Amino acid sequence: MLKEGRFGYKEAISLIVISITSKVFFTSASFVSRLVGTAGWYMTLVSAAVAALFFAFLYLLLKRFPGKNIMEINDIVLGKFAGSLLSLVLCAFLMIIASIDMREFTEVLKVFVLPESPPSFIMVIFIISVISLAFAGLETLVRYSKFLVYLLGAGCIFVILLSIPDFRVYRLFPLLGNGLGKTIINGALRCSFYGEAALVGIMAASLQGTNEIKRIGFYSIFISGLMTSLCLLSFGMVFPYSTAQELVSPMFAMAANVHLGGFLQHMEPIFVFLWNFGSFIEVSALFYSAIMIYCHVFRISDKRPVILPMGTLLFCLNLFPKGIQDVFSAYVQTMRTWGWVIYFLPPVIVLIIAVIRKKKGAQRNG
Amino acid sequence: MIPVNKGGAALMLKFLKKLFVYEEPSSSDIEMGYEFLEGLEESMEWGEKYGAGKGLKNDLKEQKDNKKDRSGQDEQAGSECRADMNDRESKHPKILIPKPAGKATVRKSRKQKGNSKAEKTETRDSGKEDYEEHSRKVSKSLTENLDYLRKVFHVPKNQDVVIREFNVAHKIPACVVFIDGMVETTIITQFTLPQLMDINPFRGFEGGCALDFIEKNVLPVHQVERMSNFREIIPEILSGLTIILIDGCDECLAMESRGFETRTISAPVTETVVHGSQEGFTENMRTNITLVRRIIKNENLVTEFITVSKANNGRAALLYIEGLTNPRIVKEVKRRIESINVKYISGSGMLEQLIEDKSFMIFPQVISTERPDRVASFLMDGKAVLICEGTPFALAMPITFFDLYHTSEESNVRWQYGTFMRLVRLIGMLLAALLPGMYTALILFHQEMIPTSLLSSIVVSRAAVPFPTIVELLLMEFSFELIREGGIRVPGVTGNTLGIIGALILGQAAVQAGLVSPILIIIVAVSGLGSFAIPNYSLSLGIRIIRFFLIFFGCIGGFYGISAGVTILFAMALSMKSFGVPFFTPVAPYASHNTDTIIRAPIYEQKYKPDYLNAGDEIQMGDEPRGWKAEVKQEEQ
Repeated sequence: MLKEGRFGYKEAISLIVISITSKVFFTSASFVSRLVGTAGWYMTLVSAAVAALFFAFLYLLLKRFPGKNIMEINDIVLGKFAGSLLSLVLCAFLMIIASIDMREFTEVLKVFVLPESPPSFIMVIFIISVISLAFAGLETLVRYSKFLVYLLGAGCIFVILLSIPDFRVYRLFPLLGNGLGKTIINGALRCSFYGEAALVGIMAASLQGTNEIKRIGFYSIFISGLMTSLCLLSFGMVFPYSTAQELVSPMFAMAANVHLGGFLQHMEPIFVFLWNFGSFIEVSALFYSAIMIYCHVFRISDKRPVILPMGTLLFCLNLFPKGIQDVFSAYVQTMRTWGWVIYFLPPVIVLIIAVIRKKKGAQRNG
Repeated sequence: MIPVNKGGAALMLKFLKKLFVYEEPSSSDIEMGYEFLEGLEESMEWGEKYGAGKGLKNDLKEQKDNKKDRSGQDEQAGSECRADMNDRESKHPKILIPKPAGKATVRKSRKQKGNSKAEKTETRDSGKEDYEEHSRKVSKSLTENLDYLRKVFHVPKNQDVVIREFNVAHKIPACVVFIDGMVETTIITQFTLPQLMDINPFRGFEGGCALDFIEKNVLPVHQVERMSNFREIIPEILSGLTIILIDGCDECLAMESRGFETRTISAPVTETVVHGSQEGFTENMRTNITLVRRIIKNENLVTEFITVSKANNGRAALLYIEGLTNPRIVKEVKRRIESINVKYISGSGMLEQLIEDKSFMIFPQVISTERPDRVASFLMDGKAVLICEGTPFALAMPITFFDLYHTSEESNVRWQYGTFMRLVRLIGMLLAALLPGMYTALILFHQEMIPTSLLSSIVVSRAAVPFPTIVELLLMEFSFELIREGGIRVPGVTGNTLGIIGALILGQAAVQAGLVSPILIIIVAVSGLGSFAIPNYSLSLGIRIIRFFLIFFGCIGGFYGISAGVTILFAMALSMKSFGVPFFTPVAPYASHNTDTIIRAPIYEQKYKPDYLNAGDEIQMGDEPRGWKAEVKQEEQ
């Protein structure tokens, strides 16, 4: 039987930070350029601030029910039926997000690294990795994240440092991009970029107290915001924003541009590993969270029998988008813009209902 | 017809069932951190796999039922149950002795027992051994005792059991029983028989059972013990003790007389160091314990002997420091060993496989070492150590990955050198595991990522090679493994010569014949050297297997495939535990530790013992480990 076990804040922060920041390696960066021009690097800080605000509500809710995860809280506040329904919606949403992120990865990988491999082949290898991590359990997943977070961080900073000769500060002007108002609105709407912070609510029972939850949530958003902003700032200085809009993966292009002397060129291998490991962890975190919710709703204590069918479902969901354009412009952007409705809004509503109905963890236990 | 391996198929089915079939949960409690003992479910599984017969399984099932009833109680209760079970087992140890079973008996038993699969395994063909519990007491009649011993030891058919009858002080019939070759004969011929047969030492003897008088006044032997049950006596005879039986006494004397030939202490073969002790273990358990005791001269070092295999009465010594080693580790080691129901265990290698947590994992979960100084260091950290008869290796547990990566040499050289050696070793390990796979991935999938100058060198060197890269690589890797395996098996100096000459000639000839490219020879050689840098033999074998695994993934998916392969490996390795301790502690999960994991800080900075061992005393040194420094500072002030 798989046990979630308990883990520390460093492990949890590693998982959330990797899950959030690995998205910056894909198409989001160029889409941000399209939306706000040269203001992308601080637009993401606006997104982070809004996500932190939403997370504060989630934290208040979890604090009200110490030791409970979001599914249990939904059941307590809304009743078993409505609570389960809300949890199932979150489960379905996480599966969809996982499948979209995976498909986005598959398409980008096909374009840059494995042009002759069929997408289904890439997906099968991906699914095998995700299922292996899921079989090993949440404890292993967070340990793996902790193991890799330093390597991924170092790799990312290494690529940025090697790109410094290509930096042109004037490319950041005009500083306000397409307008401050547009930047703030888009920044607020795209707070779901940091939506993985909401996974803290799902794994709350494995964390050590509400103070840890607060620390994990806010630190994760802060570190991810800084890393994302740094990446966007770097590629904003390497490519003119008009060019950046056209690139499928500006960060990959930046790594490919590195050319220091005769030998230190083509840093894509480092980047490919960052991509792969980051995406494996991100999708596994979403996938495992979905399994946790599903098993909670249907009272299944052993998650192992559920993993393989859910893996098959994830594979099938991946096949829905018709093609690369469909994935990038429709699915990914819709989820980035409106994902917060499922990630962050339900906890706010549940908190309000809990306050109105005077539901509290201690009262229930007592 | 191809024979079907039913054991393998059953194992695979069990494995698949474990993965996919829903099991009714016994507890939904989430444990805090990690524990030395496994959960009850894992205990059940362990008991079913290795448990000593039905009794243990029933006990465990009982525990499970109890646990269901007492749903509110915590894990502590489970471990108490196990402790009770261990106590029961230790109070009534089962010594089984072989008893030949004829065909008729077997047929009869088959008829009685029916045809179920479990019962079939209990029956044996004629000539094979059956086992029964044996607890016969020593009789007052010497003849009865001798008849019994002759029957048990198959005398006179069995010719190396010596039963020497004589009269004590010319009057009382007695005999000594020992196994020829296992004893030091001078103890018997000079210090036992002359004293017992002579009348003079018995001048003060007033009649009755002579054992007490002999023990206190006659025998000038350092270690003598009184025994009354053949259950205890027979294993002692088999291990080299001499038994003195006297007519009219319902006890006997077991006299220490072991004196068989053993190999002398020599330098360790698999763990050589430049700086440090040059003593290695031998096949003699007593010698090995002495080697450890010579280093740890501490009254708290405890040695417990445990019988590990029933048929050959193989024993192991469990060493730990009382008050330092966590009692839960000691209890768990004993629990696992006592529950083993295997008739023949030849030494530490077999025992290691029977007590490790997950046998399907590629990495070892118990460390095997032939260095007494390493064992001493493990004991002083708070680990438990097992030394078996018959093999020059000791087993230490629990371990982490970093124990496998360290050697005793680092502690014996200055910290800068120690750190340097560790970094070289770490790079070697990474090269051994990843380099061939990365090369395959680069050549097959990512040519555009290779810097231009390097790419041109590779292309030129590969131009004449007729094979695809993967065939070329596998050919060379396999040849290398062949040379290595051949080098070990070929006796003496020829083995080393074969290794060097084979590699040189084969490599050069293969390049000249245009079968492989020179760059591939470099790749294979560097990865081979990397694997030689791994200090632990089991880990080195594991890395060699991983190399082929990653070559496969590199071949099917390039860097992406390698990332997937590494992820799968890490998923396995990070979920592994050694006696409850996660394999990558103290890095993942984090536990407080000295800077002695990847790099090695100065010795005086390593103030604490490993946190994950929960040792009785966690402090390794005082506040000011170098007192003289503090004195100098004070003087300066």
